[in-house]
Formats: sequence, structure tokens, C-alpha cells
Amino acid sequence: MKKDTETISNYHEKLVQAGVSDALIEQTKQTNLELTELLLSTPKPEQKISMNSLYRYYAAAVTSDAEHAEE
Amino acid sequence: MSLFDDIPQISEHHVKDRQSAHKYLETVCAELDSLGRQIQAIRYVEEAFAHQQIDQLFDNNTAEISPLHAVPLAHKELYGRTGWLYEGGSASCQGERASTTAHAISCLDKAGAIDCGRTVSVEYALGVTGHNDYAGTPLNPWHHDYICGGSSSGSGAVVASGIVPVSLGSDTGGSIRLPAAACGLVGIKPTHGLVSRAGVFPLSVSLDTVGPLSRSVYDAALVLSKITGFDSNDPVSIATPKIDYLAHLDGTVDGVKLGLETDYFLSGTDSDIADIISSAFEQTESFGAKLSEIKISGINTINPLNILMISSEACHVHMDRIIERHSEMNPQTIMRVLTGLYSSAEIEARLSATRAEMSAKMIDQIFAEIDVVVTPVWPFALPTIAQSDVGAKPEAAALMQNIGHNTRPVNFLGLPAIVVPVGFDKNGLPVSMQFVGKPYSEALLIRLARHCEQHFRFWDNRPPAPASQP
Repeated sequence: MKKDTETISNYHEKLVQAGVSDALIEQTKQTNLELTELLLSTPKPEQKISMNSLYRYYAAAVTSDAEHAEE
Repeated sequence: MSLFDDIPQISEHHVKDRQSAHKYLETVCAELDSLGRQIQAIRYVEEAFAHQQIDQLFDNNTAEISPLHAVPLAHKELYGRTGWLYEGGSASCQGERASTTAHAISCLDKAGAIDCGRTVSVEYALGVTGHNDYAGTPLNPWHHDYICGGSSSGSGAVVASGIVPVSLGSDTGGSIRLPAAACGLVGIKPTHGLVSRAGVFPLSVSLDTVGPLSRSVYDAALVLSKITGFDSNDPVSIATPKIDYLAHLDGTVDGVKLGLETDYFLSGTDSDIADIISSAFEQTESFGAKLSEIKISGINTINPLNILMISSEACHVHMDRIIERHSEMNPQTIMRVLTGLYSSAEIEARLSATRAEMSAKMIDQIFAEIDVVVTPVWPFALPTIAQSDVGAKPEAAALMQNIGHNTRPVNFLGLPAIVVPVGFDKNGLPVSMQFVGKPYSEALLIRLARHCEQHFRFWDNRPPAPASQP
């Protein structure tokens, strides 16, 4: 799903129309707000690094059992 | 039938030939159907299929017999097998069937394991206590008033009650390690990408991992060895040289540097549990490990960020179903998913970038001086099912949210971890220690857990028989 403003708004409307309780929706919005504020209070990432590149970096150091045996 | 046999004992005594394998399977399935249902851990048993698997195994008489040959197992209901019920622990998926077989299950099939059925999961794997109004709330085999933890709650219960030696679970914020610890089991949360999640009911593509729960370190190492490997059907699967973890099982840990983290993990844990962990940590010196206390700065924001990431990614998977079938779902599950709806694509990108940068820095920082971080698993003594029922007791929500205090950061940083039981709490429920290592350090973690197993001899104890439970 796209997470642009329009899509989020559409999903919100669908939730209301489907009968999901207002209290539940408001509570989740509030929790999201608090968690987002926490995220934005952390230092803005400086580097362009992804978790996949990080995993691949560590994976490159893995040696097989056969290589262990040759050591 | 002898409950509590581990894989080598099952191989040696119960499944030597076709006839004995069928007979043993019958008794395992009978226990799953009786004891397994009594402790509310079983979703369904597929005995006819399992007997067919045994016949196929013995028909294809291969020269090399795997240690898992004809060993009956049962796994968390999130693991698909083509045609089997695949409900993700939720009434909102009632009657749905898997269109494919999970990669990890196929790996175990190839290794000769027998698949007997599926165990209860928390709805959508989104909960750490094990409560499930639809599929059932598994009872802890050590004391039926207490929770098994979640979300791999049924897997913890069937292994701890001795019916099967191993069960596969999944872990997005602690869902293998929390039930493993609550039930006195070994639980492995592998490095992200080491084991394919293809065919496993998804929650969070960035955080989901899959791995075994078992009573013995040997069994966990054996199963992990069989399920690792690159799989193009999982977008985060990474090709690494194949490791036989059994070959590393009894290696030395002389000189391995262990760090007990005191600033976040230990101080965020109730003192009665922290004292047990501190004592167990000190005893690891007798293995030859070098001990120190460490502090990890900046880790306190990770737990809530992990919650935000799970909910944001869960939205991508489950939002349409919530709109269509929310009346069949637990309100707690709906809230946990919906929390992520209001995160924009920009926020999600910021979260991913923050995670990667924090991980890169923290992994370097943590492992510059030590090899393995040691932490508690549960931050307080295990609660009862009634005490932790957030649906019936909304005031318990904040406390229950804290259950993942010691496990969620490990998922966020993408690190491997193993939990191993080291004692009992004031109520006689298991207490476990967590070893967290660098990415792909599973072999070292398994060696440490093996030393703990031999030192603490936890499974010299047995959960009381159901008849004697209060």
C-alpha cells in the first residue's frame, strides 16, 4: 500500500465506515503520534546505509565449516 | 510412549524401521490430541499425512540417514503447507488454506522430519502474552495458571510438555525467545536473512525471523542447520556458506568475552529476576569465559521504535483484512496494526534509515570490546493468564507492553540471539538468560548455550504431570 496522505485518509474513512470504534482509532492515532515524535527526536540519519547492506557486510565475513577445518 | 525424549533418543529407540516409526507417530499424535489439546496448544493434527510421509521416507531408502529421519514434529500455525489450514491464529482468516509450503518446512521434509500438525499462535503473531480468544490460550506446562508467552505460545507448550522435541516459531519482537524462556526451552532467533521466511504468515518484512524452540541445544542446533540457506523467495535472504552448527556444539568458549549489560537490560528488569541472571552470568566464568559489565548508550529508544516499525509494516500486510473483518478480530490486534497506519512513507523511510544507522553504530560500539551481550529475557516474573489478560484488564496493558523490553532491541538491530534456561522464579516458573551476538555468530551462541545446558542441567527437572496441576 502507498502511504501518501490521500491513501492514509482513504483507509481512515474506510475504517470509520466499517464501524471500527472512534475510541480505538483515536487511541491508535495518539500512539502513532507519540512514537513518531520519539523517532523525530532521534538524530537525523547522516549516511545512506540500509540494513541489507549491513547484513551483507557481515555475511561476507562468514566462512564455511570446510574453511574452518583448513585453518 | 516416553515423553521428553530428544531427537537422538527418538532416532535410536523409536523410529529405527517403518513399523516402529508408524507406532511412535501414532502415540505422538495421540498425545498431541489429548495432552496438547488439554493445554490448549494444538490447532490441528494431520496424522494421515504424517503416516504418508513415513511411508515415503522408507520407500525412498537412501544410503545416508539424516538425524531427523522419521522424527515427528509440530510447528507454529504460521508455517504454511499447501492445502493445510493457514489462519494466522485469527478468526478473520477462518478456513483459509495455504497455497504454498514454507521454505523451512520443505527443508525439514528433505531432512526426513515428520510434520504432524500445527500449534497455536497469537493472532497475527502480534502479542507477547499468548492470549488468543479464537485459537485458545496455551497453558504453561510448568503451571497451568501461567502464560506461555507469545506469540509462538503453542510451540513452547508442546515442546515443554515433552510431546515433540522441537517446534518452529517466529520472532518479530521476541516471539520465539519469550515463549522459549517462559517454558524453560532453548530458543534461537537467527540473524535476519539467515533462514527464509517464505511461506510463513507475515507480520513485518524487516523484522520477522524464524527459528526453533527445543528442550536441548543439540536439537535446536540440528534443526537450525537444516533450515538455513539462501532462498530467492524471501527478499531478505542472504547467501552465506552453509554451517553445520552441530560441528560447533562442543567447542570451547575459553576466552570468549561476555558482557552483562547493566544500564538498560538489567536495570529494566525486576530485581528478583536480575539477581538470578547476575548469578548465572557469574557462573559462566567456570566455562572459561571472560566476564565484564557493560553499558550500551542510546538503546532505550529502540523498543518503541521497534513497535512503530512492526505496526507500520503490519499495515501493509493486514490493512484490507482489518477493514473487511475487524469484527472477528481482537481489538488489541487491531490497535497494534492500526498504530502504523498513520505513518507516512516519509516517516517509514526515516525509520528505516534511523534503524540502519543506529544498528551500524551500535553493533560496532557493542562488539568492539566484547563478543556476546548477556541479558535477561523476561523483565519480571512470569504473570498468570488472568493477570496478563489485557482484554479483561485494560490496566495491565502498560505492564504487558514492557514484556518485550529485553527482546525487541535484538530484532531492531538485526542480531542473532539464543535463550537458555538457568533457574526458576519465586513461583517455580523458568528463568532464562539471553546471549546476543554479532550478525551470523549463531555457532558461538550455540556453544555458549551448550555450556549453560551442561552446567545448569535445567531439564533434570520436569513440569508436573497435568493430573497433579492445581
